[in-house]
Parts: sequence; structure tokens; C-alpha cells
Amino acid sequence: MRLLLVEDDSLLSDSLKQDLEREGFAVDQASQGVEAEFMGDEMDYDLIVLDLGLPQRSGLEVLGNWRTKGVQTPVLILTARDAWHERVAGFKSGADDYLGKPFHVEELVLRIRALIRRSHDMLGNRLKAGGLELDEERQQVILPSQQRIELTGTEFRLLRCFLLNQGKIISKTRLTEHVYEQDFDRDSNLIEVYIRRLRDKLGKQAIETRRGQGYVFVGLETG
Amino acid sequence: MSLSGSKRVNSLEFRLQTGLTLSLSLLMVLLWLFGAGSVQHLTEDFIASRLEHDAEAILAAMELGQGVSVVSAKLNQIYRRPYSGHYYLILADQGEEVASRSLWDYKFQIPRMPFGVSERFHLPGPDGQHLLVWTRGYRKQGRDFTLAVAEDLRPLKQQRDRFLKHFALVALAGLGLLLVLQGVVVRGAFRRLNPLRQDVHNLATGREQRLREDVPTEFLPLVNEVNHLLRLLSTRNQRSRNAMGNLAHALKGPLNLLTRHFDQSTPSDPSLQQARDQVERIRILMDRELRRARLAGGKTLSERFDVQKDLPDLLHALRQIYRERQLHLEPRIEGTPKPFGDREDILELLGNLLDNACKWARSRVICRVSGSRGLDIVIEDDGEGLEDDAIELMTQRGRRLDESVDGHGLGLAIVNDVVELYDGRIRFDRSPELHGLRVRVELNPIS
Repeated sequence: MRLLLVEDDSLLSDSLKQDLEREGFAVDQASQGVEAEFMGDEMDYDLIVLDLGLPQRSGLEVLGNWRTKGVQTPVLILTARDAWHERVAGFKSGADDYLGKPFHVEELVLRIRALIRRSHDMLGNRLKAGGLELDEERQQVILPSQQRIELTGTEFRLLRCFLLNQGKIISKTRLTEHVYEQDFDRDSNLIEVYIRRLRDKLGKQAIETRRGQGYVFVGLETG
Repeated sequence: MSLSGSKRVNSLEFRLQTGLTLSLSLLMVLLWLFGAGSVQHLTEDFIASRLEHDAEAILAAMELGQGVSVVSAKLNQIYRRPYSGHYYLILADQGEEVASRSLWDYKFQIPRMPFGVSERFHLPGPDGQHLLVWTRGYRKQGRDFTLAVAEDLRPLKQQRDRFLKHFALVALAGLGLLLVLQGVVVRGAFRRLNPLRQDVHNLATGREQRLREDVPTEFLPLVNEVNHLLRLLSTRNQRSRNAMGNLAHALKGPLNLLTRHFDQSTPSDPSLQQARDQVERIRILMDRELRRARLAGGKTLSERFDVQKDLPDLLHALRQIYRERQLHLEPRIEGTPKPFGDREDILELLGNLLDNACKWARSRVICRVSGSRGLDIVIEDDGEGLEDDAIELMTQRGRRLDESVDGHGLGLAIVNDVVELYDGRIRFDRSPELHGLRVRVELNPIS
């Protein structure tokens, strides 16, 4: 999962980035409006966390521009301006959720997870697909037999991406993007290594390889 | 002096009327006096000149022989009819007196005049007559004598008095008419101030943002001053609101880092736990006071809350917030409530109440808005509702800051602030339709 974190307070932004990375998200940062709008336009993020009081271009304007240009990425507004008339304006501009500052990181993470599930049409508050369930708190996968298997950070990120996109072909580039940081040295062979490890843990049939296209998560459903 | 009396003295209309009455009366009296004086003067001059002519005729009819005699036949008949009002008297140098027949046996005293000197004076005449006497010293054929010619002024005086009486009556009627006209004019002029009064009223209730400038010229400077003041107040208010927002923004950053710091540290340490609680308290206090400072109360020149436009936007926001729960939010706008109060205040009130209803509702929330002058809001949900004693507690709860739990009390505190600001009322009971909590709020226009 790749997030864009738009926040002009670098102290807060950096510490939030650490927190979100610990939760298994790849995080890009932007600290001012014009830059943020450009990044949102160009990159295919799973979610954007947007502060409203930004230098150069206000958060609301950036959000409005994205929506008029057809950028459908879910946006969570994270701002100190949390009076109701400000929230109304935020949602009217196309926000999907709104969190007032100061906040607890746990709540932000819960809301981010919920928003990502929602954007993949997944109802309820569990990440479940193809007979597998992901425990996002503990970064474990629960098999149909209720057996829990520990996952490493990268395995967790990969599997979450697969679960959210069950049945869809995901290219290797996209997987890399969603798993690693922007400035990470991308070696696509590493992805193959991790896919192999996942297959070892889940069973070979769970993830199919489409040559030249990418991978498809089909799940463990029998029948 | 009674209050109404002093009020009356202070009224512009009263002042204008008294001033005008006094000055007009003075003018009339002066005119009357001047007129009376002039008429008297003119008539006397006129009569005196006639008497001079008469004197010449008498001189012509005089015969100076041994004594002095006047040939009456040469004179007007009027000098022979008794008490006719026209008389003459000749005082010759040897003490001889010749008087006109008309004097009959009445005698009046005249001084002896030296030659060439004439004089005019008043004397009482016979039969209650009032005589104007003209005398002059003459020298004819070497003999000095004094001739006095007199005429009764009474008939003229009567005419003059009648004229003066009519003059006074006409003047009084004119004065009355002028005052009535003036009253109409003054009241008409003051009626032109009624739109201004209406404007000021609208300003107070927030229907108008500034005073119109089509007022009488004398009031234009005042209106301009007021408008200037209003602009100043509005920008000042806007600036302080912005400053509040900026302060909130600035303070929340560091506070957020503190919160995060305590979130990361181990909760087992009791002193850390305490510090964490204090940070939380600062956050709540700040939130509460900043929100309260932002409330405008509709007195300022801010945007009004428009139910038709703003309620759907608010419900859209709430549906997004509670999307997971698939709540059914029903707006019911009854009648056509006019734009009311301050948009941000009312959104804060509705937002908090609806947010609370959404938190507790199972599936449905109804929001009714009505009202012609003020705004009546009813919010119902199908949650658990509250017991009677809890309702009692809830009504007082928002007032105490420490009791705010998970933002719940905080929201209610703001709601109470808004209700108080709009001189309104808030009541809690059980919804007859949805069986959950029903909150009823009445807001009044601030006048």
C-alpha cells in the first residue's frame, strides 16, 4: 500500500511516516500544495493523507483540483481546522474522511485501513479474501483452518495488496511501487523472492503467475 | 418634569414648533405695532395737512376791522353745525376770541403762538370728542393773532381700530395656518427617516449588512460614519476569527507531537500517564475555548445559515463519516425557513447534535428544521435513548468542562453555548417516532 502524506509540519510528517511504515505502508511525503497536487496526479496512490493549511496552495484547493481532474484516490483530511463548517467544506470538495488534530496515531491507522478496504469495496472491518484473513494489528495471516502464520513486513505488504485485489492481475512494477519507498533501490527479482516465500506459507496455488503480465491472487477457495 | 414631558422638550419636532411659534408671534406683534404706529401717523399727517388747508380758507374768510370776525358764509357749513367735529378758534392780540359756531359753548384752551410758528397737539373736545388741533401764529395787516383749527379724530380712530383688529385676526389665523403647515412639513421630513430606522433594525437582526445611503443630506454623514464603523467591525471580527484559527492551527502541531510522544511511551509509568492526561486536558480546553471564541452569534456581518443549501451538505459529510454504518439520515425541512443566524454557529450546533445522534443510532436519524422568525430544530435517533435521570444530567452536563468524555460532552458544551447565544432553549426526551433520544432546540433571532 502506497500512501501520500501531505503535511507542512516536517516534525509531525516525519514521525507520522515512521508510524505508518511500521504499519506496513509505503509513504511518500509532500510539504506544500503544488508539489502535493503534482504527486497525486502522477502517482497511483492507495490513499492520500492531506493537511489543509498548506503553503502555496491550500489543501481544499488541491483536493478540488484532483477531483475535477478525475483523480479518485481516497483522501483523508488531517487538519487542525475541524469546526463543522470546515468539515462540511472538506467533504464537499471530495474528501472521504476527516480527522481533527491533535489525534492518536491508532485512530489514524484504523481510519486509513477502513478507507482502503472501502475503496476496494470490502465491507466490514476485516480484511478478508479468498479464504484468507489478514490481521493488520499483528501482521499475521489467518488460514481457513484458523491457523495463524507470522509474516515479515514485506510479506505482509505484498499479501495485503493481493487480498485487496483478488482476481486482478497486478504487474511486478505496481507491486514494487506499493511495497517499497519511492527512493528504494528497486530490484524486481526481490519481488519474486518474496512471492516464493508467500507461496511456501500459503500453498502454491494461492498466487498464480501470468507470464509477461504479473501475478494474480486466486485464494485458497476449494471448489 | 415628567419623563414624557422631558422627552417632548427633547423632541426635534417640538423644538422646531416652539421656535417657529415664538419667532412668528414676535414678528406678528412687531408688524402689528409698526402697522398701528404708521396708520396713526399717516392719518394724523393727513388730517393735519387738511387742517392747514382749512386754516387758509378761514384766513381768507376773516375780516379784520375793529375786531376780528369771520364771514361764515364763505366757510363750509360744517363749522356752523354744533359739535360737528370741525372747529376753529382765533385768538386776537387784544385777547379777543372768535370761535366757530360748531363749538357752541365749549371752550378749549390754546397757547398763543408767536408769528410764523405752528404746532400740533391733541385736546379733549366737546361731547367726548378727541380733537387734533393745529395752531399757528399769523400777522395780518400788522396784527398778530393765533388761529387754531381742530378736527375730531374719533371716526378715523374707530376705522383705524377696526383695521387693526382685522389685521390682528388675519395675522393670528396666518400664524395658526403656518404652524399647521410647518408641522406637516416637519413630520414629512421625519418620515423620511423611517427607512433608516428600519435599516438599523435589520442591521441588528442581521438581515442587512449596511445602511442605505438614500437618506436626507443632513443624515448622510451619520450614515456614512455608521457604515464605516460596520466595515471596521466586520474586518476586525474577521481578523480575530482568522487569528483564532491560526492560533489553533499553530498550537495543535506541538500538542500533536506531545500526544504522539506519550502514545509511544509505556503507559505503565504513572507520572507519564499523568502528563498524558494533562496533555489531553489541554487539548480539550483549547478546543472548547477556540470553538467558543469562534461563535459569532449572528450579530456580525457574516454569512447566514441557509437550511436548503447547508443542511444537505452537512448530511453528506455525516454520511461520509458514518459510511460503514449505512445510516439512514432523513432531512425534513418544514415550510421555508429564512436564512438565519451565523452559518458557522448553526453548522457547529447541528453538526454536534447530528454527530451525537449518528453515534447512538441503530439505523435512522431524523432532522427536522422549521421556523419563520427563528429556527426550530428537532433531532431524533433510534438508539437506546436515555433514562429520565440521565436526561436531567445531560441538560446540565455540557456546562462542566471536566465531564467531557470522548468528545461527547465537549460537543454538548458547544451546543449549549450556541443555544445560549441565540437566546434559545434545548430539551431532551424520548422520540415518539424512533424511540431513541429526541433533542429539541429553539433558536431566536438576536434583536
